Amino acid sequence: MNLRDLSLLPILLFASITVGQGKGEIKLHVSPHNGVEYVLDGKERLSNRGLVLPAGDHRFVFWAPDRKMLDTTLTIVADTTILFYKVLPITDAYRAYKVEQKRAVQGRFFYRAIPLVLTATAGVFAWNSNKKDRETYDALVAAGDSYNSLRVPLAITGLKDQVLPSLQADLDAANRRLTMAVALAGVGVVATILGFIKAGRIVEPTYEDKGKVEFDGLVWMPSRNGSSIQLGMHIPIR
Amino acid sequence: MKSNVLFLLACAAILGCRKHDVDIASLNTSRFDPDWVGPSFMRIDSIRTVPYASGALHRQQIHLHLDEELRNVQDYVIRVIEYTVPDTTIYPAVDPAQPTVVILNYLVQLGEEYCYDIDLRIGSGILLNHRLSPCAVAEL
Repeated sequence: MNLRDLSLLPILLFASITVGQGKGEIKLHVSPHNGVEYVLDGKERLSNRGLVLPAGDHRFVFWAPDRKMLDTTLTIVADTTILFYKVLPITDAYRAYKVEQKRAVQGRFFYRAIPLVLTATAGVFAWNSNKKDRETYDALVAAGDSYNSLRVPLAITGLKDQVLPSLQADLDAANRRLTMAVALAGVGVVATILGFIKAGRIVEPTYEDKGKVEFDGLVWMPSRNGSSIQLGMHIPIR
Repeated sequence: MKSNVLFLLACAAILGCRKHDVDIASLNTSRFDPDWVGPSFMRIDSIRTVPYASGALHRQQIHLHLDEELRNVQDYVIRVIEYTVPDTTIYPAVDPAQPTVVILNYLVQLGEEYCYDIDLRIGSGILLNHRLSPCAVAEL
């Protein structure tokens, strides 16, 4: 070390003291905005968005429910405000859970809704068919009853040769429609019962946020009565 | 299982309530029906031979009784065909107020038999199955 280097020593010492004693501010904009927590320098578990910290490197471990942890070091510069933006990605396990959950919900919906819609449609069809059947039969009976009150042979001939056969054909068609509708409704009811049984057997997947357990294990917090370890428990409520 | 049984019973009940047909062939009880088979609206009261033109000529008089049910219908026609003289058709005057119609045949010879077809038509000319076919010898 020469004299020139020695002359710089006070300056470096001053600068070091200045950096070591200065403070800077950091504003955290980590998504998702709700539920983000972080552990600062392996000691404190915090959730506030703004911090004033001594200048220098600080270790942040960010975590949010169902998101990947982010372990990073941020450098605080004295008298400077740093804006930190980050989106925590969803964990693969949670993504897979959501896919499975969606599949289960869709499967349950499929097994319940489709037979139910089929049954309801067939029921409406059967109700309409029955109504039409009754109306056609009433018309046929009324036409048959009018036979005895008619005094015009031409009208009687028309009634027997045209009106009654036509109404009879309508009634036959209505009967066929009603039979088909009742059969469809029957299939629908059976399908609905089976569908509800099947849907009830579909097990919805459960999800355990392993990242939270890991995150909870990172911090050790002192309490008023002494030392304690902050633990978390995740109970899935279905 | 129980619901399936109930459902099947409901289906059977609905299908059991199916409406049945009207038997068109059995509709033949109206006397105005062209297919009617039974007593006629008309009935021969008497057939008499009566002289006219001072006894030089004779005519046959058929007294035809009409049922009240027919007389309530306004537009009926009685047609009489006499076969001795071909195509002799008589349309007697009909008075709905009177229960009897008199059919007159002015061209009869004593000792000869005359036969008639008496038809009944109503409305637009449909022939009813009420035909009478009397025969009578012209004699005093």
